[in-house]
Amino acid sequence: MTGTIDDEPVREYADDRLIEMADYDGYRVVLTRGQWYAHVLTVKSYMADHLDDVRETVANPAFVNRDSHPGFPYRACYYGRYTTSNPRLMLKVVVDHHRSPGFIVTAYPCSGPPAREVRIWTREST
Amino acid sequence: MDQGEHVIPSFDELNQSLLTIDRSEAEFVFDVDLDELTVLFYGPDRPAFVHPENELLSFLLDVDTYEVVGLVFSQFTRDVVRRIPETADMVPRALVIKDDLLGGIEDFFGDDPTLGGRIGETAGAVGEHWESRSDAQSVRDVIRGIRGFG
Repeated sequence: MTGTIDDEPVREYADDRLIEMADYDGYRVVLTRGQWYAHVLTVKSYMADHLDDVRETVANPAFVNRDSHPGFPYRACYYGRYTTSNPRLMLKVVVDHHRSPGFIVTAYPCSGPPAREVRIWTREST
Repeated sequence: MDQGEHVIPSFDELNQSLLTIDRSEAEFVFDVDLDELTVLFYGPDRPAFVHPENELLSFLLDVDTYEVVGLVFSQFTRDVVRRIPETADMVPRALVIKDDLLGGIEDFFGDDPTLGGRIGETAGAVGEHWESRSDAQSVRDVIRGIRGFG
């Protein structure tokens, strides 16, 4: 993975890029409007209120796992804060790092990761 | 409700609730890029969270009541359909998402091809990760619960 934007951790674009920012490790990550609307809001329209949570999770995750789907070896799952009345929930943001910049594939609240995801980073490790 | 003290129901309890859930308004969404098929019993507007049962199956639960409001089948074409061919019955009635586009399965794949071939595979062509038999069993249990798909 290459391509950091250390001096601009969060940027918004007027074009198709809804988010372009550095993740917790300095790698550049983007979210396009098309991806957000098609793959996230179509199924979970309530996520429209949680774009800031997506940014915060990418920039400052509690931990990061490798996606357990064997077909997506370059996908990482960032887990972080989900703003809600239920403190048990986390936000999961799936980022594909096959190319640079990394590409946010989807994001949704969850109760935790599936058992077979492998931890590749935790906040305490830095 | 104080969710801090509220316990997420067990798989058996969640699965049992599918027997009585209102399936009349169920919506199906197949995300090709994620290889996920989602069943929404009450549409996309009801706030919910993903509760993974295993690598193949997650429940969508209401954020306040923990009631089942949907299901997510992950690794859908790779594993779920191979192991449980009847799950492919949900695809023709699903909204399909591919790239940034939405449509029906015929809009994307027509009379082709790759996806159709993969979905049509039988249980005999088991996936290479067949060792996780309990995952497939839990999916079977759920499919029995929503048999008829609305």
